[in-house]
Amino acid sequence: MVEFATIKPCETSASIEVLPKDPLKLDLKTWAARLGAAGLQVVDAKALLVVQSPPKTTVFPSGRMLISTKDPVEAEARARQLFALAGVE
Amino acid sequence: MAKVKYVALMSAGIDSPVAVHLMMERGAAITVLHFDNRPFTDDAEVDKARALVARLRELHGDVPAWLVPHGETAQLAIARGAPRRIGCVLCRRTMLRVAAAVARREGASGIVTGESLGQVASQTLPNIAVEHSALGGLPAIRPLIGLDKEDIVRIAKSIGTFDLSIAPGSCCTIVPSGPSVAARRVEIAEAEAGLDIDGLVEQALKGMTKW
Repeated sequence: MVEFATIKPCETSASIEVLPKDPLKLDLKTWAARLGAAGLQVVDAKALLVVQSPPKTTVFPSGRMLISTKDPVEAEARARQLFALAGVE
Repeated sequence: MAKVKYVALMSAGIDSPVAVHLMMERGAAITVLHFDNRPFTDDAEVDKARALVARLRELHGDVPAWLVPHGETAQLAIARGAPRRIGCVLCRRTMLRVAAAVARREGASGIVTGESLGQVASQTLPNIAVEHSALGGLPAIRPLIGLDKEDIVRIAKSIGTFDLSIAPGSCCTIVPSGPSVAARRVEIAEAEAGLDIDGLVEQALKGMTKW
């Protein structure tokens, strides 16, 4: 199971950063397909994915995510939801 | 005497509203362009820019301003089709091309930017030179180029834009971890050859909405 750390990047950030404790190498193309199939609105920018369905989430290949929320608990729950939908537990 | 017209690139950050203010204080007529970087930023950045325009209007009266589509068009095309490390330079060049087209349309004499030398990767001297070559000879005015950040912050506080600029928002997520600080013209030309730059500029001009 993937373990996460949650960070508020800076005082004025409107997002919470979620980092897997061990570095990952996500196949973003597969992620985009799976998240899209699950009904989420996804923009595939090749180097990152933007999941537009709220809370808006930017997914990087390392597994790092930027999640538009001020609540670290909601942010971690979102990360777990996306990992589960992508088939990575 | 008629005021000299300029077109300004204005983000929701600290610097570019100060650049616009300094030029208007000297009697320039400025048309503001705010580039909408969503989905690589969030709604808060657009709201902040709108609030900054409102504050500049309180200070200077009429300040025509436009929201220009950029994230879903140019930034996405650059992210998908160009090397990441030069993405910021390509992004800036595209914004400057759009600004130059607006300037030609409005009879403006130059482009105002909030660049301050060495502050971020896109603002090194080599990158500024490569970026501004996209203006096709139109002069770029950089009122902040030699100022320290502390000087800029002091002015921003004195004109009431600082608190608006530092309100919560999202930085651009597509900025690479190792951006080029000295992009070469040849690599920029190669990357742009693979992109429909004219089409992206046209999309921006067609999609602009007035504030």
